[in-house]
Amino acid sequence: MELFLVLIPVTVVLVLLSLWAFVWSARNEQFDDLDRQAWSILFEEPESRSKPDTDGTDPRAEDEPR
Amino acid sequence: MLDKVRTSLCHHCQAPLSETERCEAQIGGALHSFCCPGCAGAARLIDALALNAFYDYRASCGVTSTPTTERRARDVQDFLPVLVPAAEGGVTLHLLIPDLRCVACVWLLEQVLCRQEGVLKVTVNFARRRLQLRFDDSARLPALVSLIEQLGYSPVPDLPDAGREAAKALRRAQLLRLGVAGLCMMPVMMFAMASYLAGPPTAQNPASGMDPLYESLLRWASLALSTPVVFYSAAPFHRGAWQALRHRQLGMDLPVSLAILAAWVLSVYNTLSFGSAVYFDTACMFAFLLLLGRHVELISREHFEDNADHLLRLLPATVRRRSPCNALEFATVPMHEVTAGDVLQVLPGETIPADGVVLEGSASISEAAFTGEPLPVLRTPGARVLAGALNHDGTLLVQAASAPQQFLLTRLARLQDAAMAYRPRWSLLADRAAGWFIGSVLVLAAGAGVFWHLAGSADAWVIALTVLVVACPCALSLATPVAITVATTTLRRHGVLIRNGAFLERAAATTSVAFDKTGTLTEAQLHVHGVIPLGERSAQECLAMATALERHSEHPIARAFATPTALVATEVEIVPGGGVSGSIDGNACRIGQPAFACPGEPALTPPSQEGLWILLCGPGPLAWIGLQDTLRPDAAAMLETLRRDGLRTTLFSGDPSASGLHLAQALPLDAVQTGMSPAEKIEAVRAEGERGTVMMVGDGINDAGAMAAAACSVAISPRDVLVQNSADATLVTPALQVLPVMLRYARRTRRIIRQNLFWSLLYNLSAIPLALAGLLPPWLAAIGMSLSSLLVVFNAGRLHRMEG
Repeated sequence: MELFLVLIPVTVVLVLLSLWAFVWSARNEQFDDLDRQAWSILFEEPESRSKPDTDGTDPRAEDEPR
Repeated sequence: MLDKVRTSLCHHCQAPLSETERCEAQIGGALHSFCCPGCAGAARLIDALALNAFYDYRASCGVTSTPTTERRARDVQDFLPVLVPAAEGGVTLHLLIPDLRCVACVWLLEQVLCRQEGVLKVTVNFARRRLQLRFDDSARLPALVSLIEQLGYSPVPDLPDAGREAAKALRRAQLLRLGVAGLCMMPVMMFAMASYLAGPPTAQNPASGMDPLYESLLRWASLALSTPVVFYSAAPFHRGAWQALRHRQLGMDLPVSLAILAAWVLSVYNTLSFGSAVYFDTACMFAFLLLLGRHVELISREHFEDNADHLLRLLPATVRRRSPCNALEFATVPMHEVTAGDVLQVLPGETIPADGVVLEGSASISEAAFTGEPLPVLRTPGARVLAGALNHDGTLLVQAASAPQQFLLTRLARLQDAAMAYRPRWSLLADRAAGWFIGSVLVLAAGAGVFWHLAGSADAWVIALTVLVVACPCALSLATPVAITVATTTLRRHGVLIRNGAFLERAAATTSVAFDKTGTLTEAQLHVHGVIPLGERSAQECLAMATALERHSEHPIARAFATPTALVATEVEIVPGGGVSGSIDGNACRIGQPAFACPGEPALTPPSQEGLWILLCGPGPLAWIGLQDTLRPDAAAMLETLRRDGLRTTLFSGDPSASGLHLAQALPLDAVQTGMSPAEKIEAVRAEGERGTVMMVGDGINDAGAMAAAACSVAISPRDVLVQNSADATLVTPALQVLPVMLRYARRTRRIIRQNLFWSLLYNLSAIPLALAGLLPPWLAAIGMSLSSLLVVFNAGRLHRMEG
């Protein structure tokens, strides 16, 4: 039962961490568009399909800010 | 077969290809056909960026069309107001893209724009169709805008709007409150469960139950986590309660706020004084469930907000105004500078920018945004035109009748705002009932506390709290809103938009359904249904000639002609209100109104009164071509289902021709009246109303009166905003089969709400006497309260399924 003394504060800390994560993501507009993210998992990033035939003008070679 | 269909559609925008104007391009190793060079260019651009996967993603989204690339490019000047310096450096461009169809479009835009030089950040919000683009130098604006246009989208400047910003802030604040309440509620309930399971120490055996050290540890942890819920998440309830008190009223927020605060204060007191029990979980759960209900309600209203938003964006940002001193000089001025009396020039293909009167010129104008009638109407000098209508084929000079604030379109958008503020009667009633209920509960709780205190009980205030908690009309006040919210959301998912909260209630009581004909039971799309040759040419030849001529016209009549033909019409001229003239193989040909097609022979009359007949001449009369509306394929099955459900079906048609009667024989209808004026329709609906509750189903402005006269109304895929505004509900998809399903669903919603009200009242009425007698421990009261709320919520959750 002594474990309680550790586990309860750990729970509280975990909740505070998740609260911080939630507030951060809500402030960064991550909950503003729920449709798009649900689909995005189905769309591959073109970067991941390596194609050697991009004749030197590979757009991926450029600095690509996200 | 499928391949054949595919090749006859444009690879990019999926529009049907015409024989003459198609072009082909080698894209991604295969030959594809396109409807226009613009679409081919868009596909080439996508291919060059190695983004061909867009077409596959699009198919997986179930959306098959992309906006076509044929359009008038916007003036770059329009975008300058929405280009603002960004705090992180560079400039941010705010765009609204009304034709963003699916998430594949979002993906495409992000991928394409990310690759452009100088672009720092791309944010696309699909739900709100907004695009935010941050880039380093404002000189890149024209290139970026034209790139988006090249892909086939029509970006519109997203002007800042104080109301929308406020709504966005409200939504975010509410989401934060809800999330905080939810995240804190979970561990608090977990801690509470531990205490409940261990049970309190009893008088016989003080050592039973949980060790006081652990018990107080749990309490302190609960106190820490529930405090933000009580003071941050539940703040709107406290504020509402305070506002109501200041106005000497008993609002719904008062008992909620009081119960949350009382539970918290008593729990804090018991935590500090090692008292019998804490109720932090009660406070948190209560706040969370109520916030959840409010949030879902807010989300379901967003659609209507966006609608009003898009409505106003029909108007152009700038207009060409005639200079007052020189009648030949036109200056481009911003829309908001237009005042009554200004003379504005409107070119073919443009949107009429102002309500006003035509001074010069004539053109076919479609006012589909107002009337739902897609057929353009000829407007000549002296005729009234409305802002937002589309000018098909002529150059007009329009004198504005008022400033933009007074345009019908602007007023419609304001109407929609008012509709959004509507609260369902059920909800109001439940709120009022709950308000009274809580008034008595407050008195009862205080009375019980005083009574037990005078009787010398040490638990007097715990009993008072128990009464307050057990009698909390949480379940009662949730019973209706939760069910309505779930029902509204579910219906929206199935393409039914509810504008009026009372709709579900009235739809559930409906005994009779009245239909309009054109556009409701029929498709309101013309098809060739008969050709009567007058000369030596065969019907097939005549249709080919007609197609060759009509191919050049944008008029809805022209869409009825799709006969494959190699004939090419030259010297084509489109005469507004008349028809099309041109030359085929050297013969001068005309198609259209008899008076236009064959001006020399005024005696020609159509072979039948039914449907629409146009004349083809080349040069003499060649054929009558009959055009007719077709019945929607699922109309008969839908009416049959309604009948099986015991509903009366009637048809009130404004069409004077005999086709209404023909329809009646083909369809299972109980009564048919044709050739009715709007006023007669209203009378007929009222007469039906005396026999029961009538639901009116229509699609056009001519049904608006009848819709208002009926107990409730449904508009079927209206192009018309006014109709959408006057109808209680709108079917977005033209699938008529939804109608009977929706009526059954409304009845099921009513049943579930009644069950909810019954159970919550039963719970409250049976538990209060026990609590008053001091027989109920507070923790059991809290569990009972939570369970009754959960029961109500889960019962409403059954409405998530439309069928069954």
